[in-house]
Amino acid sequence: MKGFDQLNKAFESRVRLGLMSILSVNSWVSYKEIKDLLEVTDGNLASHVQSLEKIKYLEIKKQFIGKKPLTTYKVTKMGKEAFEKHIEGLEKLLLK
Amino acid sequence: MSKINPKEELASIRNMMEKSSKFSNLSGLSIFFTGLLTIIAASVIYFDIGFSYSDVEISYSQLINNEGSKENLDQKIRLLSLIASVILALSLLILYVTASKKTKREGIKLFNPTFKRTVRSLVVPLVSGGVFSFFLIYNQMYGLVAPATLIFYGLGLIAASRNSYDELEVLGYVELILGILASYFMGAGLLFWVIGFGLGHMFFGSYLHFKYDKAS
Repeated sequence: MKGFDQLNKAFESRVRLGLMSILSVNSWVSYKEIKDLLEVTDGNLASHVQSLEKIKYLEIKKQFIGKKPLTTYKVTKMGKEAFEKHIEGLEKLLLK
Repeated sequence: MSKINPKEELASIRNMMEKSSKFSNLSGLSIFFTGLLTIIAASVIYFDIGFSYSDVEISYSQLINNEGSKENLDQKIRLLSLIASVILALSLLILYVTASKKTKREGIKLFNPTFKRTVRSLVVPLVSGGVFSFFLIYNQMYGLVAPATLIFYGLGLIAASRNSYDELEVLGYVELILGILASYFMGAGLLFWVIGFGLGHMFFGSYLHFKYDKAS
């Protein structure tokens, strides 16, 4: 199937797809914002974030605002390219 | 990998991109009503519909032409500011109530990052416009207040449109051009105000209503 080979297994889950969508149009988004937007539980999101970071699609920045820890995320160049290719694949599938 | 629905996936990607980057919680109808409110208030002032307070007629034309005594003028400007403030407060209240209702229905938070970004881009032009207008009044250049508010408001909308509805940019340019025209036709400032803040918001509000609110 044309386009099928362009789909990325890393983006198979809804949560990861949503995560990448948010990060592809915003840079440095906080964990809480992502959680609110995707409406997922902590554990669920954390595991997806971890696996995307492992394959270097995400960049994580941990900092302190006063005494409160703040974790923010950004998509890497590699992640962005992979996501674009995935979208392209979906579009090709749609044209069939 | 077997049941992949590319159409649905692409739609959800686009949806999430929009939702996370654009502030779109204002209800179209509420914007429409703020426009209507402006027109009603401005007409009362503009057409001197016998609205008076302790014998001072609230008349825009008298104000522009510096008619009447100094004391009289001061009282007028205070009354006009009062009316304007009441309208502004009422409009903000309407916008707030409807927006919080809408966000509750959609299960998202009103004070989300896109809201903050939109407000942040609005604040600089609006506050500078407000301070500038205050000094125009202070220096008794009443005729330029309406044009100035239109210009600064337009600039604010153009800046805010990056984080909100794209159409805000159009409304912003409309306000800006009206403000510039109003600076030339200074005596008719309130009329331009009615067009910009009144009709402009009514058109914009109904456009949003039919394009977004009703569709979803």
